[in-house]
Amino acid sequence: MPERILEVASLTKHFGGLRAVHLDLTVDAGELRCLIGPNGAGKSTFFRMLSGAMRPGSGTVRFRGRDITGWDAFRVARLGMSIKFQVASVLEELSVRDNLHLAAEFRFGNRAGQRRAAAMLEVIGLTERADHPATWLSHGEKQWLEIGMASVGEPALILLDEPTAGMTAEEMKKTVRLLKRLNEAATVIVVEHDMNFIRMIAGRVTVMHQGEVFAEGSMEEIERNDGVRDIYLGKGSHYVVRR
Amino acid sequence: MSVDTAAIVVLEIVNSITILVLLALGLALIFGMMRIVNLAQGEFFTAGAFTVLSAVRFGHLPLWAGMLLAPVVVAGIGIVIERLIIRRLYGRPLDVMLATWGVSILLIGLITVIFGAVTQGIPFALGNFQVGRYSYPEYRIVMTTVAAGLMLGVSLLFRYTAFGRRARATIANPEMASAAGINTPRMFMLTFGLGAGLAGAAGAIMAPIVGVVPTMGALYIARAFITVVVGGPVVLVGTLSSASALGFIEALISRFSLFQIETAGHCAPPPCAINIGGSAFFGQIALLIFAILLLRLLPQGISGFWRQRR
Amino acid sequence: MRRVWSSTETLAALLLLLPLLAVPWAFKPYAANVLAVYMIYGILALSLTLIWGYAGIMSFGQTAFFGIGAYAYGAIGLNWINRTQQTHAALVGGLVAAALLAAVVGYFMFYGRISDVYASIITLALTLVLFAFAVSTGGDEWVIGVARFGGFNGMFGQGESSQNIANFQIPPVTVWLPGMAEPFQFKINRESAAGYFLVLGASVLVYVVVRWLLRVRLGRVAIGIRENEARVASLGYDTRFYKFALFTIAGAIAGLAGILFAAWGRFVNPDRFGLGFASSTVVYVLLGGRTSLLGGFVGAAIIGYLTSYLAEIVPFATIPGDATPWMRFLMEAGRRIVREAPLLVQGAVLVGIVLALEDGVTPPLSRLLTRYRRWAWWVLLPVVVLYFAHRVACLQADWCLF
Ligand SMILES: Nc1ncnc2c1ncn2[C@@H]1O[C@H](COP(=O)(O)OP(=O)(O)OP(=O)(O)O)[C@@H](O)[C@H]1O
Ligand SMILES: [Mg+2]
Repeated sequence: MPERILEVASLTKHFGGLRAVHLDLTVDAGELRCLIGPNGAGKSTFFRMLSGAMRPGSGTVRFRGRDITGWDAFRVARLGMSIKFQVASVLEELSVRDNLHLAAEFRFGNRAGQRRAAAMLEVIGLTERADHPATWLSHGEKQWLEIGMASVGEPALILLDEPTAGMTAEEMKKTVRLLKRLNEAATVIVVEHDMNFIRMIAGRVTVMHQGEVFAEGSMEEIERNDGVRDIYLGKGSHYVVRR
Repeated sequence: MSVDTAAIVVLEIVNSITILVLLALGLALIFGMMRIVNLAQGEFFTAGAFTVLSAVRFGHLPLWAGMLLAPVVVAGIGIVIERLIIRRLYGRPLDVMLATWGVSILLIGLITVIFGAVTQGIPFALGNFQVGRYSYPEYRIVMTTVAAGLMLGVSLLFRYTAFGRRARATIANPEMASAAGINTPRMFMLTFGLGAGLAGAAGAIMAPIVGVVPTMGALYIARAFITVVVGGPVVLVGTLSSASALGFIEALISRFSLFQIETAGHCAPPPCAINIGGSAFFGQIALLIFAILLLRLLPQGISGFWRQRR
Repeated sequence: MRRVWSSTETLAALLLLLPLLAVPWAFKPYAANVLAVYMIYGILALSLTLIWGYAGIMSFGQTAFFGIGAYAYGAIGLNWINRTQQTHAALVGGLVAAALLAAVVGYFMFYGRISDVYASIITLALTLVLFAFAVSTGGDEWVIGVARFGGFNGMFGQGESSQNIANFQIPPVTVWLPGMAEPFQFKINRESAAGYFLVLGASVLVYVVVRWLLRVRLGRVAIGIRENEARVASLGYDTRFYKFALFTIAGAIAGLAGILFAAWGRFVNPDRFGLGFASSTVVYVLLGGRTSLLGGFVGAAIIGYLTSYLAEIVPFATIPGDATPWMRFLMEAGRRIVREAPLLVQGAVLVGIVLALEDGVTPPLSRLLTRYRRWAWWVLLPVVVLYFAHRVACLQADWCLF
């Protein structure tokens, strides 16, 4: 039986009266897991709680066998979890290289960090833009940079929140290849809305709805599930678009 | 401690709280409602005091009329400043701080140009009353009453009037509010004006008991800010609770000497000793230290802490 | 970021340092004296640039650390100078006092995770409360050994015996290292420019150290924090620690400036904690350019020069006796406007630069220098060198061309 890298038990977050997240979830080491769900399902909130960017209301998170509930973000990161936030949050005025260097440095130190950063530039295909400030990058390039930052520290678990938002079909294919490559070394959980992308990834899929796990299985199983179709189309649910 | 001493201590605590409330209310309103820090608040306070001074000295108005005039004048100044400067800086909290600091310096300069740099007093005619062996200024009771009245007024204004409803809607979600037809820039302007007016009122009320001088704002601004920071985001509850906590500490430390440190100075009647506690500025230092300790525990301030708990 | 020392920087260094090195011989001692204080304020401003421009933490209270450094240097120096003939302990003490205060305040602010706005306010409150404190130390009991705080009048020393009380000033920086026949005092006067060179050396040292700090991990993380603190934390950095460390270092630098100030003027009073000085510091940085390490020095020099220039103008020095009350009022107001001009200028600079979203004067200057690098190397630099060489020759040896 593969090792359980992540175990989440009744993790809950309320915003005022709204229960944004209330969920149990386990992920095995080496998985490439997709997390889907309509807007406002609580996916990003869930990620933020995992990574320590937001304190959970209640419940527990175990990561690599340790209870990390309520840990500070930097400690979670040091234990080997990294995150790409939904909104691009590269360090705009630092160069692309420095962004990656910073992400690598805390684990590998200055020199080795520089080498890793250079290698990652190749992987994400930004070598030519290495010395430009990150502000100059296009939207898709920023996403890749973020993915690079999330993986350059060789984490055990990578959380990616909508890595292909705003990408062209071609760019998306490239991202899929990138993800598969990352998945060789790390467990990956990726939040996505694009069904094509999910199909290409072909991992296990978890559907979130109103903060809870609604369904889980392979993509075929999920696509056959009427309930899932309903929540996406809005039939018979109380879901309201909150944007 | 005898009964009259206890009574005086209680009165002094109430007085400390009163002063903190007066200083902090307008600032807290602007900070809580608009999420901006107005570093010119101290000069609004000064402007209030100078309005009273001019009304009494040059306009030959009675003191109370000057005091009523001050908040209006200062609110006007506040509104002008909001329109000219702050309006352009919404969404840039640090720049607002810097710009209002610039305004504060400009105002000090302007007030000095007009009135000169000398300290002036405003005579007034209330006496003292006896508490056992002590006598206590009646005017302080007036101040407490006014402070309570201002708090009540602000609370009623925001709870029960159309302006209050619109202001709260604007603060909760400016986009939604303007989509609902509320003139949000106007709401910000009026809120800022109100906050400025409250500082003007504070300056007017305190004018008779302090030296009126262009730089007087600086003496009070630190305490006002500490009170607001410790109070946190909920305006009235925050201000009152933090003013109470800080005022309590300040009054006690100002009143009672904790211990003495002997020093090697050349005092006229030797020996030389520094009393730690028992003077106004030790009260202020205690207030700052206490505030920093409190913020270590409650980084969002008192009201932020309670709101999170709920 | 990673750009190492560029040729423009060498050029700028030469353009600044060559004249500065020549100043004591090229002008009267007064010039060195004035420039020294600009540089001291420049160091203070640099400490603010470090944490504000690079880590994004606005501190209104660098003056608190400046003042503490100055007072600590004064107190220790006054007590030890007569016994040991040097001020080594005072130098160390001043630095430690400033760093310690910054560390304690920084610990509570950053480990308490209060928001940036709250942190700025706390720093402002800190310096204002210290001002209130320093002002109220006028009494005879406020002494540390022979050092009297002196309230408004500032710190001075008081002789030992009570029959014969003699006052004396804070000592200049004085070193007496093993192997030296007698102690050496860094003074600025007709005979010696040692104090000036001490300040110049300190400025260069601080500049180089800060520049280096910004290139190592501490600085890179700091810049990351300014850009996006949550992101940097999610990369595995304890951002609290980095802010704390940087704030402490900036406090120590401000303290160093305070030490130099107390030693330069042989004097320190509560004004160093005051609102006016606190806002000046911010104005220096803003005017000079908060993203440039030299900005603070440039801002301090501009404002300092302007202030001393304005101080010499006295309009309507005599008001005629037959002036109408209105005329009299207007003339007095005119006089006051000039007297308050430094304040008005500072306020206008703050508001103006913030509203115009400008970068201060140094970044455009350095862009110009980069653009016309060639001209600067072959024309500007030689002209500057010749001018100063001529000044020195003229003043020292009377070889004057004009
Ligand atoms: N800081 C916050 N304060 C209040 N409500 C919030 C906050 N963050 C999220 N929410 C609410 O919590 C719910 C879940 O939000 P979340 O961002 O986690 O959804 P999501 O599944 O990531 O949606 P999307 O697909 O649009 O990114 C939403 O209703 C959102 O409005
Ligand atoms: Mg999301």
